[in-house]
Amino acid sequence: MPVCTAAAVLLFIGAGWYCLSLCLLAAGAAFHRGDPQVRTALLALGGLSLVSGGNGGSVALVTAASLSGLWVSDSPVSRTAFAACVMTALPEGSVENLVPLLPSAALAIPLRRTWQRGGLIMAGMASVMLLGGIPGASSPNEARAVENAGTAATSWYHSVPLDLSSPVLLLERGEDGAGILRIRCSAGGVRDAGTVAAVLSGGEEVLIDMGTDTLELAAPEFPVRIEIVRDWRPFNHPVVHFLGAEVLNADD
Amino acid sequence: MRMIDGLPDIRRGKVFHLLGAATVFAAWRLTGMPAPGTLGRLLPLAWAVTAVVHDGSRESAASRYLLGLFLLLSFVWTVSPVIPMLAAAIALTALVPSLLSVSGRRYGIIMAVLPLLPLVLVLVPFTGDEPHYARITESLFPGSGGEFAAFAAQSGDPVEGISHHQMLYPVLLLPGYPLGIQGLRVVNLAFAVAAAWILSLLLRDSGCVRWERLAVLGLFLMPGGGVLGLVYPGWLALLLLLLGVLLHRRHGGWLAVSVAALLLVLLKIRFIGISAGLFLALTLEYRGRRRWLMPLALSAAVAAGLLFDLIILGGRVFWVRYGNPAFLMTLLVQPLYRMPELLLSLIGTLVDIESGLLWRAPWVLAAMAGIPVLRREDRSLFRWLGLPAICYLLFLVYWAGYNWSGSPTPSGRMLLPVLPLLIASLGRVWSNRGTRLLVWISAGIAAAHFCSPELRFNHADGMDAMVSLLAGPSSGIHPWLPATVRASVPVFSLWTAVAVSMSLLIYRNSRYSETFAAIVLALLCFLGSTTRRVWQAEDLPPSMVHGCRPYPGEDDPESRKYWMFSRQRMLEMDEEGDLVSLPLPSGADTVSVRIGCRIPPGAHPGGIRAACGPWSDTLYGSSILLEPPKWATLIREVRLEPRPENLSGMTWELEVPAACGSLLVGTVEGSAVYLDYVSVGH
Repeated sequence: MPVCTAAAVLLFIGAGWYCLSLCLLAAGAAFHRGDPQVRTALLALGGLSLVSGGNGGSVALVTAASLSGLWVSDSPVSRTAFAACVMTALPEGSVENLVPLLPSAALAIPLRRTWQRGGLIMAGMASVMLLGGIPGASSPNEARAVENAGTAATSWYHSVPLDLSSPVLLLERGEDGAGILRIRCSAGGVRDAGTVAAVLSGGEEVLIDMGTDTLELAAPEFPVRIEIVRDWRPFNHPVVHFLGAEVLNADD
Repeated sequence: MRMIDGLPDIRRGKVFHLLGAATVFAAWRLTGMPAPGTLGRLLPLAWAVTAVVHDGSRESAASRYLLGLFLLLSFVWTVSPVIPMLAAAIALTALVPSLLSVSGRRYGIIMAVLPLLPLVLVLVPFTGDEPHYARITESLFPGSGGEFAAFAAQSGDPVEGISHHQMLYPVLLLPGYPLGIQGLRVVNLAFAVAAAWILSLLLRDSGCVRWERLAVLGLFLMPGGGVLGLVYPGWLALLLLLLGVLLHRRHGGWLAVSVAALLLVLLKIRFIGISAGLFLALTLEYRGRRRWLMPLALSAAVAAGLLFDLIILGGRVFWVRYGNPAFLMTLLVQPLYRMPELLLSLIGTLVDIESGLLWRAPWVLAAMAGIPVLRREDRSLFRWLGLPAICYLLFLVYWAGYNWSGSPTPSGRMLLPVLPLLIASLGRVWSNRGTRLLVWISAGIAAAHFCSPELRFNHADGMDAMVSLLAGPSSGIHPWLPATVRASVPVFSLWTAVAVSMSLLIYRNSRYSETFAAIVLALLCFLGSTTRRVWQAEDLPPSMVHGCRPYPGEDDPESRKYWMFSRQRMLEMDEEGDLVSLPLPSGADTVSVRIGCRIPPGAHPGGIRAACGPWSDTLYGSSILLEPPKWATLIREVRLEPRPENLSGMTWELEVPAACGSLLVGTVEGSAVYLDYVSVGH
């Protein structure tokens, strides 16, 4: 299985750290001893990581699958492969803040009891959260709003939710022109009344506070960037529901 | 888990699920996952309700593992928008073994549905036909407030004031109306649970050992789970079908079957196929003179019913909807001139990416393997479940043609009448290799549909919501997936062959069945990791489109229902700034590009322009107005308007220098161009 995976990965994706991590995941699954359904789940996650790529999503899925394998596999060889797979996420670099997890992964290899390995991995996760917050993509995912330029006024009418997994929305316009940009959005999910997100246009910055807002930019420069400015904190779920926007003539 | 190792097994399952509820709730809050007020509460609630209904036996290892996997995924959720959806689906999949074990208890089927109840009632948007049924029910209620008055008319209604929905189903929803949307849904959930219970009795009578589990799987897995509790008549139709069959099998006679068949027609004309199948099964049971009298009596009853509708009811049931000559002519000419399209639709019910069963219910492949076994082991049950299913499927495709999928309502709902046959067949191959793998995959997909209800809604445009979310628009997987709206014979043939091969392997209990499934899935995933080369206009992501409008503007397939040629959406470009920008592959000096478009004929020929850095090229021309197809002219006199859907497609092949990195496609001097597709480096 690992050899076939390696051949397929090289053929479809090419060499790289992610390629190595997939091969190690396949090796871990091949040597896995225990519940056979786990192998199915591991391979399914590996496969999904191939499909849902982009900005670290693939690496995060493979890392989560490897940690779960490391947790439940009864074979030391399999656990070694899974731990090595976790290690490859570091040089790959698309997921940040995984370093405190690596010692836990390494130390879990020789442990014989499932609950000991599980506890160690949980401790590693807790240390990651305490030291620098949960892992995130090294470059934020950017969404783009669907522009409807056919009518008299340019508008973006599809609603887009922004959260920490996709914290940036770009409003692009084919041509620059005069007009006021009116943005309708709803921000929330935090435990205070402070700023949740910001609208950036050229050098101008408009803050979006908690609650529903209609914002206006007098002279927007495209692309306009709407970005969540809150970092991860426990018990906070910062979210901005972009509800739509339109460019109005100055005399409207 | 070590904490609860010491507990006696009789309580351990309950404690595990309570701890699971607390874990899911705490992890959701601690990691800040999105939708804490809805999914972040409903999933822990589902775990807590499972703890209440659970018999306390030891939890399955799979549940433990999946709970751990949920924790790990929630830990990395900020890395990609796909991960929260996967984490939620895995948290719900972890409950599946427990729901199956609950089904063995007294009232087990009801108890197994209870954990799903909040997800169905709160999370699924009230859309599609649901508000229209609610509006009809509301009109029957004296002094109602008019909450659904805005849904008085619907596309497809025969005349103003008469809905194409029939009255029986809205009447049966009356008990739920005072409680609003949730009340209407609870009534439907009751229909579904009753249908599953009767199915389980049929399976028990047939000697199937896992009868309750199979019935619960029928409720949870797609296509049953897709409309579980929603205001659609599918589960009620199953209830009538199964009740008729059960009463006939237990007490004999023709009355129960006849009443069920009649009610099915009154419920929805579409279910006439089930009624026909029931009568066919009844006829085959008779011997001698009764076998020949039965079809005669049936024909007389149908004729009497049609006359009764015409004379007494003023045609309100059948004639007002389907009694016009054009529709009847359409039915007549279909087999002569539209056979390839009908055949494609029939195969599409299995393999179509948007509405076919294969992609959201791969357990169906195992069930297909079980059909010959069911026929061998219980010919009577096979006949009573199989003939209605087959007749309904043939009728659906023949009657509805391109619209068999019912898009954009929940995918697969139109195929619900096939469910009893498939569930009964699944039970016959449960122990075969490969079956459980497919059931597990199906459970995961069903859980994703419960947690992210938006995945249920497709728009017959060739893009499946789940594949789009997982793979993104730039993935090379899309051309490899069979879509009826952009039919490719090789792709359809390939997936039909894969489905048949998988079923055969399971039927033969081959040791290669799981390997085969794994190889197919792996290949799909690897294809998903490649970069797209052929861009259909309607699939282009916003980042590649500047200006331009989709044509037609509405994504509802109703707007393309009467198109006579391709039903794919296009991109309309008619202003200077309307542009499509596509990445060019590197590694060669030039790249072959093929552009498919339609340019409306006018006084001056319009043009399309391709540019790449300083290089540019222009094609001037105009499309030809197509002649109406022969089948259409047989039905009535047709004169096609020069609209884009009636124009011939133009293909422009060119070599583009690759050095500039991206290709811009736009119009010349604002002339109107309708873009079909752009293939880069074919």
